[in-house]
Amino acid sequence: MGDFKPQIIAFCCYYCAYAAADVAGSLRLQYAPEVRVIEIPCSGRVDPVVILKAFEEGADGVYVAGCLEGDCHFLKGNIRARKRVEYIQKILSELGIEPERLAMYNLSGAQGDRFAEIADEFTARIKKLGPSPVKVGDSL
Amino acid sequence: MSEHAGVKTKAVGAVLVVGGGIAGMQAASDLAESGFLVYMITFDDSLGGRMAKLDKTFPTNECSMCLLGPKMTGSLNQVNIKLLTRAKLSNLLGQPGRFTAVVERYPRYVDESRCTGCGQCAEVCPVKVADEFNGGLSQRRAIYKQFPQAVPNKFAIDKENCIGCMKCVKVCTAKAIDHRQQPEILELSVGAVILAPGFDSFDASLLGEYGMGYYPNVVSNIQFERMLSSTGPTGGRIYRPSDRKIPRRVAFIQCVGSRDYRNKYGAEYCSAVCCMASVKEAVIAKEHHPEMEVTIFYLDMRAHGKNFDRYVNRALAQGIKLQRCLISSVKEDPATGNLNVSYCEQGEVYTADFDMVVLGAGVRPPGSAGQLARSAGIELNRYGFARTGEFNPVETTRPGVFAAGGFIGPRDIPETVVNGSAAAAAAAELLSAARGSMEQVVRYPREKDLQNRQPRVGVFVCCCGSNIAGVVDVPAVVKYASSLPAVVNAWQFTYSCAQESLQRVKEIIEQYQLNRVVVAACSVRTHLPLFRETLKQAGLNQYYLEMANIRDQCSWVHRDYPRRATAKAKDLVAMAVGKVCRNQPLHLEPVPVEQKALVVGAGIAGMTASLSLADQGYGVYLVERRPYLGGLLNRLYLPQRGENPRDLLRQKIEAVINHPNITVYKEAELTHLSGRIGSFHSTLQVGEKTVHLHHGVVITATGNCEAPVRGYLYGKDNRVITRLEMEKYLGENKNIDRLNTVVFIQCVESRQQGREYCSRTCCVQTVRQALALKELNPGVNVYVLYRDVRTYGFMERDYRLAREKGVIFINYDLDKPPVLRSGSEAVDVDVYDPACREELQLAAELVVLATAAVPSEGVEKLAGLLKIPVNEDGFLVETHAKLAPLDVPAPGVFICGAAHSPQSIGEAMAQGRGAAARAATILSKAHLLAGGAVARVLPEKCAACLTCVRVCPYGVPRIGTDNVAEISAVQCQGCGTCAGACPNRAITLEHYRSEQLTEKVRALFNGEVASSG
Amino acid sequence: MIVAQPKPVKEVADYIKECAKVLVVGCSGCTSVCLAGGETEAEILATALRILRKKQGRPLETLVTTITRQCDPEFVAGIAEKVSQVDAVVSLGCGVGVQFLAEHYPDKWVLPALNTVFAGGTVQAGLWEERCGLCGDCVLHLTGGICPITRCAKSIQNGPCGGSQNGKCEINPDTPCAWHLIYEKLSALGRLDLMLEYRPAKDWSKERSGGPRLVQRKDAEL
Repeated sequence: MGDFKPQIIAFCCYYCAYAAADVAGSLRLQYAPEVRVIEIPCSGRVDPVVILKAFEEGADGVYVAGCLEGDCHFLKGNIRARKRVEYIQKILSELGIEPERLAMYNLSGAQGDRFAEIADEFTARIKKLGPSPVKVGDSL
Repeated sequence: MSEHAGVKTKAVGAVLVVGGGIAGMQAASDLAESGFLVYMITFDDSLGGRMAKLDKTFPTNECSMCLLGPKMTGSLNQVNIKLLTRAKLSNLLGQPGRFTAVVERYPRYVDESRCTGCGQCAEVCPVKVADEFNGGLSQRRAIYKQFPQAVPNKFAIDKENCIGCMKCVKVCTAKAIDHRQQPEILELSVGAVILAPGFDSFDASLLGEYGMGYYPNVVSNIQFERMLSSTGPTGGRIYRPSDRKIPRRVAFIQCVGSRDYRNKYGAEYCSAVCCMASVKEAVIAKEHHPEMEVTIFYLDMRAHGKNFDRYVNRALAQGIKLQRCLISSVKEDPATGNLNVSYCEQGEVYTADFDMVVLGAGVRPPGSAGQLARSAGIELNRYGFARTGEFNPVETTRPGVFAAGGFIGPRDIPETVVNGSAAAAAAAELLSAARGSMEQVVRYPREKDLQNRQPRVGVFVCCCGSNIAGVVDVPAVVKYASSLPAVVNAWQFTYSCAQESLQRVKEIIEQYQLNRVVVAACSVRTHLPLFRETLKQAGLNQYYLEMANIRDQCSWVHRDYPRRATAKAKDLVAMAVGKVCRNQPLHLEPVPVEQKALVVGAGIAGMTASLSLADQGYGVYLVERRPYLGGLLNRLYLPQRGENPRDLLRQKIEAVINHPNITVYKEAELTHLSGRIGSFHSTLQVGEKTVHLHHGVVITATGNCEAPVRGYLYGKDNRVITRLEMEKYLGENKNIDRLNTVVFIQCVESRQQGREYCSRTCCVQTVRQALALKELNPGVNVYVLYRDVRTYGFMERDYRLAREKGVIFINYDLDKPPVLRSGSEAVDVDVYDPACREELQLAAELVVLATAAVPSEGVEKLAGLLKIPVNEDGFLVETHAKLAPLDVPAPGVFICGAAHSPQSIGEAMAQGRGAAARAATILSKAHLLAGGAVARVLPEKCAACLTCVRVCPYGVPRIGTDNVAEISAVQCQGCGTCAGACPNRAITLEHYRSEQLTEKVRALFNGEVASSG
Repeated sequence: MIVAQPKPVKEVADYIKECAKVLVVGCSGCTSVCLAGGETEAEILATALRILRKKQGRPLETLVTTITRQCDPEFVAGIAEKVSQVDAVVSLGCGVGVQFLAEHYPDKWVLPALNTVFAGGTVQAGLWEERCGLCGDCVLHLTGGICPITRCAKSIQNGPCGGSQNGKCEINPDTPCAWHLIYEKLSALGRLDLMLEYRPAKDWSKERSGGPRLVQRKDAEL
């Protein structure tokens, strides 16, 4: 398991999470190289079907990152995002996929450090969980 | 309007804005969006001003940089804003409407057109100096960028500290550094000038008693703020400078250098923002370090803004201690570095040790004020800020020259933004005939019709010097990219953003007949506009572009893992290619604008907004519910800082009635509204008649009114009157000489449960009334029973004068409010005085109640009609408490005046004018461009389930007459919340359609080869 | 509208465990509006089923479509081509939709993905409540617009019963007593006289215990 390199997708809102990722860059904060960012205008855009398809394709983990609650550039898209993530987490557990493989994070556009921390934290979490059961298959 | 008539015929349609802070940016963008060319000059290297230094903003704890970032890039990318950094105004010749501004521009020694912001120069620079941006708490190099998010994202050299070693020149492969640059003098032809140079902070080391400058653990509020910032010198951790330990006990000392006229360093005025800033810093510090104990020593807690008192109450609940006491000195224990403070509570003196002391250093005029005033030919006031009118806060002493923000005097961010807009409106009124005459419109070649063509993708991979290529194996990425399906070829650039590279991209698009482009380089946030521009010039739709961020989000952050960084870069390119193949051309469609405004409410804010728009040449329908104009202004009598509200009322009503562009409807109510931004249809009930109007915007200015009083014998004893009744009584000056004792009671049925906010104007009004009483009858005893005296800003002077004239101020606590009894001779007022710890009994012939300001009756109904949210106090809710105080989420609708929150005449007028500037950004256009990356309904799939109607944060979707959802492209803000929530996939967010996102995901997994490196 | 809610994915997966290819059919009618059976939920279910089967190493192929209403034969007929390609059809319609599909495609295995719960409406975003008992003999004109059949736990016609306490139902203290509501409403409307009127027993013969009911409109017949 030591050389397990998880495949992680992060849906990042343009105004905060994506901006924070850029700040992390300009501060040269080093973090886990496993995360692949997909930019969306607002975390409220996040689509349950797209997230599930990511797991179907073989993602080991997915997270959605939006602005801090109360701070959403689009007023409250991030609240919808959180609720939608919780909904998909329930479906994942029904499918025998650890719901922790999906997460919602909130951070401000200035928090480059937090972006790096989240990337590390989530990557560590997924490494601990191991490869997605969708890839491995049920060990019946 | 007529006074400018002579000027207008030859006015110049350009405006000079001095200052790149939030006031300057607001003024510049409002003007540039409404048909004027703007030259924006700042002496700094970056836009952002003071706000860039803030970590969070009160009272919402919003991240300052998140708000500022889009504003800064917006200003940079607006084609009609010409930004000059390191520049100052040195002379202003000519007349209003036709000025020649002489601007001195100092060299950055870095060519902005070449610098890529990579930062390699700073890495090799051997010089380290204190970083003033971080309050000297960290170091920067002699070649530096002011802060990580600086706009423009370019470096500059601090020549004073540069040793000329030329290491930066050698390492800069973009050849951007030029040590031989010389200052230049520019002459700009402009019609008006807006001065917004901001403010400075008081240098607390000038006051010896607090130990700033020699006790290391005494820091200024700006230093503390920088420590809180995640991009600051300590990365968001609070350290004691002496030992870098986290302080457990922290004291804030307020009014350092403010409300203090003991010596030459102090200032008479109140700095207006420090109370809230300190409470905010305390709250955030406690969030970072929950074990921290924070005490704020203050004189009066000046939480006079919207939602401020609630914020302070929450801070108290979170364990922040507020101690009312003026601290006279701070002593250090040299062994521990701890700081000892003596303070007084209930007449007893206590001392306490703290690990750190933060000084609430006040606001000062900007250092450049004297020079700027001389150059611009304006006068400064007694404190060294720009002299402007009480009622016209943005007009300086020189016609055609306007001021905004901290340069006028201490104020918070929303007021500053409002000033920026108001100054823009003032300039636009003057120059309305020249609107559009200097505006630059960019033209592009005809777009190629590529619908239904097979994708032919070109991939351009940037090395960014060695920024990317130093970590990522760029040739390998290029090779991989060219192997991807639909990719015609891939090319490598040293700097893809260089002019010659962009030219090459255009040639390649032509030569290879490309119809899709992927640029693997840096961030969409900074470079998408540039590459979109290139596509447009090449005749491609701008949405046929995708970027892969292989620098900021790859090479820079995975330096130690070049192999895995390369694998990630390949993945990101594959994902971008996957998506771009699914991209569709999107076009902005023009929709017509009815260039007229509906203004609801004809108080001072509504009249000011109407007059500004009318002077700018737009038709205005002004609707007033009452049979008369002027609103609450009708009830104000006393002069305010030398200006008479009666005269103002008369002048404004006359101007409104006689203005050919304004139609007034009295005794009229708005009963129905439909349509969209740019084209609303409304119905008025005017007496018995129904009137239908067509207009492009709505401005709501419904004001507020006096809250009915239940207690304090009001209505039972006619010697108890309200502050507005007192205003009339003083104005009419009847029997005032017969009074012996008058008692004012502040915060009547305010700032307590049920009405948790401050009405902002009452303290100032009370002090004014007390002074008027003393003037008319010097022998009268005047007592003011208060909780906090909130004479913020320059109004502090009246408070001082009142005390000097013998007005007695007695503090009371909410737990022990004054008690009134009706006596035969007088009203007996019992109040506990904490200063002498005794119960006092005052016999008053007149008791004046500082009643609360509450929103006008029926505002909820109107708000419902206009889809404006209402807060728990009944005031209208703006889009952003800080940066969009006059906008509401519903596009095309604006608010101003006391319906937003209680405010003074001058503040309401600034808001009125500001709202006019915001409205003019729409009314100035014959057509709005709608579309692009917005939501689109597929009507055949819509089940009219109302989900989109319910979830849209802006209230845009509605179920139309066809029984399907309609989302107006011109109103849609493009967040996609509806698309994510639609149960039948009947809504797509263009450019972020589900299949586009799915394709991006798929591409990652199809490229398994790349991932395994 | 008819309100339904999704069955657990595993349950649906179990129905089709022998199939290699299924058609998942959403409905743009009621179940779309109650967020249980529109195209989004159909896509979610299809993806979930595929994930489960991928995990088991027996990949499932899915087709997904959504029709305007599953309770009209013309719409149901429109997907014949797709139905012919699969081993089974999974319906996200209400019970009516499942049956119409099953009737129209008699040789196909048609399975429900939802549990149909009640006739009701959206009381707030994300919350639906039963409002109509489909009794066939509406009494709302007598009760101030409040249905005692659905909103009273006992469906009694002459309430409140002794279990009405402080305006709440003894069955569940969060549920308002329907007859308390009716009293308040009629009292507010000044029509308490309606409660004093003697009324014959309700005609339950129009209720569904007599087998499936029919509604006929001669003028609409072709």
